Amino acid sequence: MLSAQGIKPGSINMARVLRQLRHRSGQSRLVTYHRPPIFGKDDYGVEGGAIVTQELLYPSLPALIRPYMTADYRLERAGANVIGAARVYTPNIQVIKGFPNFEQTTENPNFDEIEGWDRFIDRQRNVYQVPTSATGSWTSGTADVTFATDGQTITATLGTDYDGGFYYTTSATNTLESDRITFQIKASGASNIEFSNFKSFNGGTQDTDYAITYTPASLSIPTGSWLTVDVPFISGTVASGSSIYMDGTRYAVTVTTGSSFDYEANFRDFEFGISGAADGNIVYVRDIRFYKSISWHVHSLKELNDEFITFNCVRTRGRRDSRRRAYN
Amino acid sequence: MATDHLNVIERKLIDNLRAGTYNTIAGIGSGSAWSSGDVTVFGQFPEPEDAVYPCIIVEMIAHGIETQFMGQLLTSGGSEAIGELYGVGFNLYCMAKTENSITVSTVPYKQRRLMNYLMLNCANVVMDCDFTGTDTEVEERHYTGFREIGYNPDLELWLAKTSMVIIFKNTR
Repeated sequence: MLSAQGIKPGSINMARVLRQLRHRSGQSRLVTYHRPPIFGKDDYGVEGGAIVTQELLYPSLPALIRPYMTADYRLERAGANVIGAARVYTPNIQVIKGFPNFEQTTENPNFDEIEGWDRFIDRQRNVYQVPTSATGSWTSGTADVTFATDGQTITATLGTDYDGGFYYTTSATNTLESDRITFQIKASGASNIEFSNFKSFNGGTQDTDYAITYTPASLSIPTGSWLTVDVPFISGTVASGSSIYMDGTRYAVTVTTGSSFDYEANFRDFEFGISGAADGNIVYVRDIRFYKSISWHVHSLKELNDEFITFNCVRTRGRRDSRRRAYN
Repeated sequence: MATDHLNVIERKLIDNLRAGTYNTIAGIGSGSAWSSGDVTVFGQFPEPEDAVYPCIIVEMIAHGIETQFMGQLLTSGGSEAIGELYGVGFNLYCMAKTENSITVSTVPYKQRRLMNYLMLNCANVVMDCDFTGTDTEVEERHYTGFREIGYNPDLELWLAKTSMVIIFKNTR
């Protein structure tokens, strides 16, 4: 049976090991692979302000994170800022290139292999999950929407007004510790349902002054498979924006904030803006999470073989949320 | 109560580094290397959640008597006072992340170019730091020059370090 699967007896099927660990223990997780943008250099070898290769931001890379040290507060206090070290195991590069977005296609030739200074963005913990297991707090906004749920996924069926927004609303809820937002979305009924934007309202409801708005550039929601979105949730992203990758194609995401937006303020609404193609089109959304991340930076490649790759990684940034709340 | 010279000096240095002001022929503090907010200045190594780059860290590292006069008699303003000349030493660290830039004459300065700019202007600012308007009389200042300049791959930061000594009159 092993040979029928194309696997040599005695070999490790790392992708399967990671999947089993993920389902049974949570030790293995799906992390987001991130390579920051590459800037052009001047004649003197110094990077300037023009991006020559866009950032790579690929969610759902299976990895096993084995920290030596998750957070060393003494080093933080000394100002060193190197506050953790981990060994990260991933499947071999050929398996990785079989994952969505990681293929080195003609449209996206930029991912060749995982290099030094690339990053694995891991979830330290989920700070808040927007419920998709009940429809009670989901509301039609400017769009005409009917909601249903299977206990995991919220199903938004568009009515006669299929161009606009729908949103989840709640009483004031803390999301201070989170620094990233992730969710999955897909559609059915038409292949050209545009994902216009999504917003988090913090400190107020349905007033764009309180919103951070993410606007993808001309992104149609996929109908066959889930699109995983994983973007930063901090004010520092506003100038540079972010990215959504689908089938290896980058869709730039413009990030803007309202005049009263403060990510330290309590969360109130999460809104999706869509532009449907017809009455009856459906949008599915699940796993909407605000989470606190750890960014593991590749500092060395320890082992590279047919089965798996081992990276030595370091986290060079961290924070204590008690101080953020106290000092604002 | 004797004047709190050390805190006066430290805070004046921090204020001037924040504003990036130096002297030109047009007068004291008439030049500026950067706008307030372009470079964050800390009086100690920052808490991680406060760390913002590019930054300058002003760290006091030494303090003591530089000159003691016979009878400790000094002129202070129009009258005599008891005192000595004291010295205070600072280490100053310039730091920047790879992606940091500040705009100088419409050009974004990053990495080595940014560090070069930070170092020289840090020197300009500390050599021209003006203590007029305070009760501290600065007699001398010595700037030792930057050293240990480079990129630290463990910290993923561009770094440079310098030291300076300020001699001031300590009266009471």
